[in-house]
Amino acid sequence: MPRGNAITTRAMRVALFITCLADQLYPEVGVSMVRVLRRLGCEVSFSPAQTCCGQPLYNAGFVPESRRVARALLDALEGDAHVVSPSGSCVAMLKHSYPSLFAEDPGQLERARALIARTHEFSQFLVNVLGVEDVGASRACRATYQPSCHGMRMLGVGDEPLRLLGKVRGLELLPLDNAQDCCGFGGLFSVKQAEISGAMVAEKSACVTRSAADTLVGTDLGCLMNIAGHLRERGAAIEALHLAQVLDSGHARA
Amino acid sequence: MKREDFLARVAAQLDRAGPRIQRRETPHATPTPAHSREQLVQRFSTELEKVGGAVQLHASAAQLELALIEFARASGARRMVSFGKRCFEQLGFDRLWRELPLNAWERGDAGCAQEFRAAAADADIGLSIAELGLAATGSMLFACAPDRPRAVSLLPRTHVAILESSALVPDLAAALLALAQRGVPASSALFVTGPSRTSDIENDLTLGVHGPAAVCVFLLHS
Amino acid sequence: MHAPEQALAERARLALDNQFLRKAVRFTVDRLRNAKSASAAALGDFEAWRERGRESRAHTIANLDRYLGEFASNLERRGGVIHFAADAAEASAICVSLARERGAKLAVKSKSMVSEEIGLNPAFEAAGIEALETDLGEWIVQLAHEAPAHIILPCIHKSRSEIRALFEAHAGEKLDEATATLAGYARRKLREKFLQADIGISGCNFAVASTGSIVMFTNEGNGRLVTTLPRTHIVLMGMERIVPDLAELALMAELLPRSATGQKLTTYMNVISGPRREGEADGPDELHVVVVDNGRSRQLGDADFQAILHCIRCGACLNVCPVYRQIGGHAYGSVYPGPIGAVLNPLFEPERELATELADASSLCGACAVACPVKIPIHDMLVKLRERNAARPTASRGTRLWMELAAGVLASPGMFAAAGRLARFAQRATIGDGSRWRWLGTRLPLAGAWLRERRLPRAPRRSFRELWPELEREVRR
Repeated sequence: MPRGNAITTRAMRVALFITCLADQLYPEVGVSMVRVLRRLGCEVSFSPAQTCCGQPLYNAGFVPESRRVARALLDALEGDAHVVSPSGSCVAMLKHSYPSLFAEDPGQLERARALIARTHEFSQFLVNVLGVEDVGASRACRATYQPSCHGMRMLGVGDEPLRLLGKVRGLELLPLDNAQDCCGFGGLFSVKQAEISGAMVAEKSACVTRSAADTLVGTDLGCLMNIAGHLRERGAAIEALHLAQVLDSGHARA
Repeated sequence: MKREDFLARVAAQLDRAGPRIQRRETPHATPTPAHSREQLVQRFSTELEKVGGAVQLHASAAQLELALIEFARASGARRMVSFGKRCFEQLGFDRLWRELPLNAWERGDAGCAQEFRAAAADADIGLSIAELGLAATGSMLFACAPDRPRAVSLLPRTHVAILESSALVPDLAAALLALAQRGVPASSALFVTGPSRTSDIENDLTLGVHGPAAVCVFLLHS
Repeated sequence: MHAPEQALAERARLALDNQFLRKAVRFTVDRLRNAKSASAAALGDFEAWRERGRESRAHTIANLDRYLGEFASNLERRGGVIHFAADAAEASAICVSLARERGAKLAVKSKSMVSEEIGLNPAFEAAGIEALETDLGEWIVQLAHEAPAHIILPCIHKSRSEIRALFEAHAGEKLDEATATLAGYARRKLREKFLQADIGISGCNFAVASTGSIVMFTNEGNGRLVTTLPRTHIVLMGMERIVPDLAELALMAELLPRSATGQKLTTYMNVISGPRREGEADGPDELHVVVVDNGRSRQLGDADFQAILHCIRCGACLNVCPVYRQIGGHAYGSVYPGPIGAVLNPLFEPERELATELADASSLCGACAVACPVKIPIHDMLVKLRERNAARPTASRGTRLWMELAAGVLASPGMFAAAGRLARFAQRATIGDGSRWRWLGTRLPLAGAWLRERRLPRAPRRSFRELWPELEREVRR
């Protein structure tokens, strides 16, 4: 995939797959995404028919229920634009699990495959599709990056977020111990096995604190919500931001 | 459960998934690049030392014999056991048998075997000959045979092995290939890589738990 | 040993309260996984090796009947005796009967997880035969009447002073705490037993079909003593532990030690082909191999779970699992801990409640699947197990109703938007981020569990979909 540094002027059509979590609890992440994509010359659309990818139901073992929700998403994201999402785990749900979810229904399976082919996680879209690493952002901060488990392991998100963060002016990137270890969110796991999840997030928070960063950057809102929630409960002053928000920094409001 | 029934059940279960795949070509590992004997000797020594073994190089059997005697004396060994003398014939040892407190295995009855085992359990040093050396890991192959008791490399505190550099192969894949080409497999084909070890106690490594605490290789390389 | 009536959450809580255990587990898994990474990197293209490993195991299991048949014939050709056990009871009965027939009083054992699966030790005790573990870690947990905490390092949960106390009680003599002293005591004590034992019982890492051999990868030397000194050697083997030939064994020998401990090769790799031959000085007079099913064949032909039989028991998944890292092995309350255990135990013991619960002991992060040297999709199997659990007649109807309700709401954009607005409003008006009305917050279902450890994000007045019309105008300018 070509990796350039220049801001592209291609007019690419992008349909936003906002995810239920960002839609309801972190709309500012969606706003930042749209602004960043716009600045890169993308024409962004949003279909309000979308709700959720069905992952929480699927992971809990409720497959028919999950399928019902997934089918609605197939309808909502119908089209031929690139679909871009701020969540590694939601995109992974599509790519990794939709084929088996619709395995018995050839018609839906075809639609799912077509959707999967044009769906991208945000950082992968910027670096691998748009060929961009420098989006012209600036943010003076000491940041550390928490990768998304599903993004890393199921989508192969590698150093794309780090490349993007590396070009943010004024941002000092600090290493995070055991970054590859799960923060303990796991969706319903965080409340169903609350003690184990609590122990996991406690260790993760300790690593974040040890990094001496003032900003925690992630590509999955579940992770951020989990780690930031834990840090905040203990009075830590750290700011937790989605990658899109960092990349949206330093620009005058359009 | 009867064999036929057990296997039939396995087959029936597998058949649920549809027709079986035909036998495929056994995938061969990428062939190991050619090594000179010098390289093999070097690698073998480095690897064995990494796992806590010791290697001495000797250019002749005579030198090697002297070194063995010296080693046994310096270590204060009161008692030693070894493979049958026939195994050492080509090396032409002489002084060794006369000067060291050594029980060489001699074929005999069950009583002999019991005695030998007791001797081995009591011995400080077990003297053996390795059939193959594996350069990539510093390992040695000992295939059991009537002249080559298992006890020699197992019961004494220190395991001494004589290895000829011509018996070095690059790695385990090569060694297993060699084994596969033999007709009837030995009752025990043992690969030894350094001294016995454990980290079971608080992750703290210690050598010589049940097996030998030291492995010393006398490598004949002219 | 296990207290199967305790639920997972309770067992986890006990483990989480044990600071020594937690520290020991973290130290151990860090050491092992770092060693594995270094060792795997040294091999070169580890992903290519993993794929070869996957293919090898997949081919073998897909043709298991053939290879088992071949193994049996070749083992017999070498003078060994083969037994087939449909389940745990039959397997331990075979062993007890072999021991009784030979008037055995003492059996020495080298590590075998299958022997735990079949309850061999209690069966022997009941028959008046001493079954003595000889792996240092296994002996320690046996003396302590506990279960192992890790597949490769069974007694990481025990401190050296605990071990010293155990040995002193056993020995009636004073010992110091140095590792060498403690290991030296074990060597002395167990050496006597090896020499007295009537029967040696071992596990088997792999059985080679083409030669009728069983292969053991060990480090301490007790495996060799157990399989050399006693007159009778019994091997307990899970039926899936077959490799077709020595070339495939070479492949497994590259993957197993590196994945387990980071070693290139274990100290001892013993390829045993039958009992001792005529004229040999030592070695067992008899070799018996007990091939155990105990729930394994049920997975064959099952597209979702057949791959679990590919497992080579390396423990790499344990060492990267963020859940295992926190709770250690005992919390799984079953023979097999960690991610592999969370799948194996419920499949082998579907009637055990705690075993079925293990599918929940995971955040589905996928680290296990990536670490597995033969690419078993453990995380996918956990989801499949949850699906099975949800479909059981005993599954909670309340949960099912909530899930159906949730699906209804999520499948309808109008209902989703409305429900979202309502929930956000309720949160802002009451508990907020969880710092307000804490007493109420921590008592709520679901949200309460969250709030005990964390704040919530402050719910925004407007969702993204509510902001969109304005945002759209902004970006169209």
